[in-house]
Amino acid sequence: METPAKENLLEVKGLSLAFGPKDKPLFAVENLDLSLGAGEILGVVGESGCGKTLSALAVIGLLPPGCRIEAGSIRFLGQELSGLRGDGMRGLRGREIAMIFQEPATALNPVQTIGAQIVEPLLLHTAMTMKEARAEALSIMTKVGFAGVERLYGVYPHQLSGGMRQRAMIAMAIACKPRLIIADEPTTALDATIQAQILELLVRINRDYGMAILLISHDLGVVGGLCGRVAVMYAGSVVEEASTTELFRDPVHPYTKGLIASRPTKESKGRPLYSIPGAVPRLGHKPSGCPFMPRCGSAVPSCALERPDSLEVGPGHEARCPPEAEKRRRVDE
Amino acid sequence: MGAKRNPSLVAGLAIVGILTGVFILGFLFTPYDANLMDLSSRFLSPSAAHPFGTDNFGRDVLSRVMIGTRTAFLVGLLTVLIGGSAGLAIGATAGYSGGLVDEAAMRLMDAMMAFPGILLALVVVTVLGPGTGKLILALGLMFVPSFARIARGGFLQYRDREFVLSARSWGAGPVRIMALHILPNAASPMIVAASVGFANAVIAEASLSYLGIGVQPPDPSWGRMLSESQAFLFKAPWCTLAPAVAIALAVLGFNLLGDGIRAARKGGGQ
Ligand SMILES: Nc1ncnc2c1ncn2[C@@H]1O[C@H](COP(=O)(O)OP(=O)(O)OP(=O)(O)O)[C@@H](O)[C@H]1O
Ligand SMILES: [Mg+2]
Repeated sequence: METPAKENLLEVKGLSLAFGPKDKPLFAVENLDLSLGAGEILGVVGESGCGKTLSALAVIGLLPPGCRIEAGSIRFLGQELSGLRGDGMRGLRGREIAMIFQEPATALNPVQTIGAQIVEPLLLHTAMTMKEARAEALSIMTKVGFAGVERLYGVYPHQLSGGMRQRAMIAMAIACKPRLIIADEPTTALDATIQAQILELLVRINRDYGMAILLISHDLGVVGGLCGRVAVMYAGSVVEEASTTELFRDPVHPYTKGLIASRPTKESKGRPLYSIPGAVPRLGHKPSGCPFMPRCGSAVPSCALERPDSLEVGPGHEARCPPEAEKRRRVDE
Repeated sequence: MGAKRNPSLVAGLAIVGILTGVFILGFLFTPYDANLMDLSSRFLSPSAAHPFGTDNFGRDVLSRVMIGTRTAFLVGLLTVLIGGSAGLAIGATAGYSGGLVDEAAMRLMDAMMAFPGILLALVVVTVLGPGTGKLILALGLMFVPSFARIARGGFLQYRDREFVLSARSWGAGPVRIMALHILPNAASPMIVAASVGFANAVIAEASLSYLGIGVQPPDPSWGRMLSESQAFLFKAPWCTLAPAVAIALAVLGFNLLGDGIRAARKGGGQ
């Protein structure tokens, strides 16, 4: 068995997630590759329905009923997670991998105090006594920006604002100092100023504790600001991955170009924003060739033939668009 | 919560409170020994010495009603406890796991429900023989399906909530999730059911004791007091009236309490 010198923290390879009957699977996620090093922040961007949440749930082993892993592997610290059941996965959840949900209003238990909810993972995964766990919870609450923690420890979620609830969710997620935090659109439910504060908090956590973060968003602007690398998803696969600077400087996939063009910038102020024509194909209505082809302005006939492969277009830069990749190669030569 | 906004709760609490007071007092003090016969003072009508009069053996009716409260409460409490915990365990597991487990458990509960409850209790008591302990067991068994249904509904409703997913995401196991996360959210219909169940247990105990297969003499029970006193209903109506009013009050009180709790949980939100 080969052991790479430095295995990545998280390696998702060829992951396909499907609904429906075994002989006629409907793929919600198809051939997904993601890799994330220790202490890194990877942004995952894509439109609603492209499979971001399902991919995240697959990593933490909580796929909804009816959804299954059709193919591929999910390796965490060199350990295969995709076949792991029951206790094995449960031991990792919260301790090594934690998740922050989009909607803190519904992801917190309405009849438990904030403090009790932060203490629970500590009691479950560490040998702490109730007293120690409480002290730890208070210090985590301070860390995530609660002022007057002694009082807020005993309040219920509905007594807090949306931003504060999300801070509480983050406190729960980081309680046991996991190596990986999956943040699924952590700021989508919040208004813009609070959004910036929460993102800043995530960056601080990443810096101070070295926790890797898989930051999922449908907003390229959110992700671009804080991630070293970005993976752009479309219809269940990663269509382009590169360092953030590279991605913005030299996008290759037409979908990425469209996303970048549709971002509000200083120059575009006052003018209508560009939007990519068409919509994401629904589950079971994906074309057999490149899923983006029906919306693509630069498609060629070969695009309709088969699922495109992901090709390297530069150092650490891959795109799932053979015609565009080919163009670059010709320019380079 | 004012009396105007939730009269059921206030009235229910008041009645149950008074009965609970009598129940507790019964352990410490009764005016007379409830089983002490005094043939020289048979059929005394209510007076200062005997507020509820005396019966055919010259026993003090007030003292007997007080001890009867103890019997009724004991049977009600234990019945609800047995039926409630077994029903909760079955219903929670069924609702949370769903699928085949749910189907099997709920069909079993349906089968039990299809059997008239009091008949089921009668069969159990006939097979096992009479006695307070067996009565409690029989009534507890009879209550399992209704509690199981209510519990299943609650657990089914909450198992796909995001906070349950979130609890799973930090490693909570199924038992922990059911007990610590879903139960507190799904508890109020169970509490209402317990209160109403208590009232039903009081009726059932009285019925079975009236039929002579419940609480055995000489321990006083409201139901048996009724059956014993009907022979001299016109001669000494107080002997019948006292336990009848006690039964009616207990049933009314616990039903009102149940309604009140339901209204409070609905109106007040969390
Ligand atoms: N429980 C489910 N049953 C059936 N289909 C589902 C289920 N969950 C998700 N899907 C489908 O799988 C696809 C991917 O869903 P997913 O929730 O991962 O998207 P997403 O990228 O997270 O979108 P959003 O930005 O709206 O959160 C969608 O087409 C969705 O309709
Ligand atoms: Mg999502």
